[in-house]
Amino acid sequence: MQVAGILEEQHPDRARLFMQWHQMDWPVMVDSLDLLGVPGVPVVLFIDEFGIIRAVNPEASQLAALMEKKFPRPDGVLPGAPALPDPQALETRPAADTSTGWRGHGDALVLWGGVGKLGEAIAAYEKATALAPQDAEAQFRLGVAYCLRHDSPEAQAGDFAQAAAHWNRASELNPNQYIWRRRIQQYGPRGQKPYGFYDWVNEARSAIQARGEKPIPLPVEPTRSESAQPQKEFAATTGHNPDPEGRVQRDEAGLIAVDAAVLPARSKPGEPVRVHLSFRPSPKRKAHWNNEAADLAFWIDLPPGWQADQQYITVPNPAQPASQETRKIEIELKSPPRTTAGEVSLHGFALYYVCEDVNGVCFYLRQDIAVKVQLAD
Amino acid sequence: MCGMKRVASIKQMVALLAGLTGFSLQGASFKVGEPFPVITLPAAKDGRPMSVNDFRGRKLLLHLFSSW
Repeated sequence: MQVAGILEEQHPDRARLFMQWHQMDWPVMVDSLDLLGVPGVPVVLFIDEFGIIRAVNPEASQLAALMEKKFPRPDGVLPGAPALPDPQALETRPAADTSTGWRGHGDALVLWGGVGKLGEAIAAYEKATALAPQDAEAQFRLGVAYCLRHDSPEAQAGDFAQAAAHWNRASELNPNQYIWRRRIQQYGPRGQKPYGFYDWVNEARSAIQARGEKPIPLPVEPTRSESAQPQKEFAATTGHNPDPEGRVQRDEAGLIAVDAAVLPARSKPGEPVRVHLSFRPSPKRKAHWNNEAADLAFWIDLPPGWQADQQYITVPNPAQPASQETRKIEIELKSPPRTTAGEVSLHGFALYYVCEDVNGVCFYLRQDIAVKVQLAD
Repeated sequence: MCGMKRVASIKQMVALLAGLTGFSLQGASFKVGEPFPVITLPAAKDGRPMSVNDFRGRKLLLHLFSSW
């Protein structure tokens, strides 16, 4: 009798930390693209020696009998696993110029191509969705590819916003898909979370260290939204506008690239949304944060009736005098219950101290940011 | 292939099943009597290709789950 697992997880490193915490020493695979299309988790399957499912979620009392039972050999030859794509195959176009072909090509690039192939995977999935815009699975996997790239050193401007947009599109096409719904909730507002998705990480690390082991490192830490606990009541706060007359010089050179994504992509009036902002120093201008000055700050103006959980928020500087990491800010917004459907553009701005090495100059700059919320009927 | 381990006792399997939250399967895509889908995925431990087909010849208790 063999025990094995399949983790429906986008982040293999978090899967490894989870397994280390629970001392899971049986083989586990990671289905980051939800290729199985599972209707929900957890599910336990009892599979016979011929690969045939013999029980779904069996009771513990049934296991002894299942282990003893002699199952008939099925007629015909059961298919083996598909041939693995070799590295050369990843370089070629798919055999058929169809959405299925391009989707499969994208799958291979994501699963086996590594971080360096994510751009090609995105291009493959884009072709698949262009050929078949209603292909919900391609939309979801395209979102996964964008998110994987957003979390990697190959990140490009707009990656997380694209990931959110494609996950939302996938869920619109197939609202019954459990894993996809959870993905949006994972990054979404606290009022729509079923639980804190990655709130176990610190507990896991403490437990592992208590055993005298070193926790497996996570290249990308869970974001605030991924660890936030559900909270049905919206807790609004207000703040003090740090630059009410707009006197701070604007970042016209684009030393910091800003991305904004809103989840869910469409919300009803009165429902909360979570805004994800990322601030990335420009590599072209050799820009870096000046950490010896004030923290990165963000302010959002609120139209009448709108609320924010944090109207003014700052990101603490790290200890070193200069750094180039991407900084992230998340806030939640709530529209008034009676708001006309359509796009509402809220105005915000960020203030930051940044230096660039092209001319060797440091600045205190402001960047105005439009946060667009789509309200449905 | 990363460490295959035989489950030595019913007790270990019961402990595994006890981890279930009581969630009920919505619209099962896994049907008794049908083969488990043919698919190759990266192993969590080292990213190497792995498939449920690798366990042919042995009965398998397969746990589909998430860390959240």
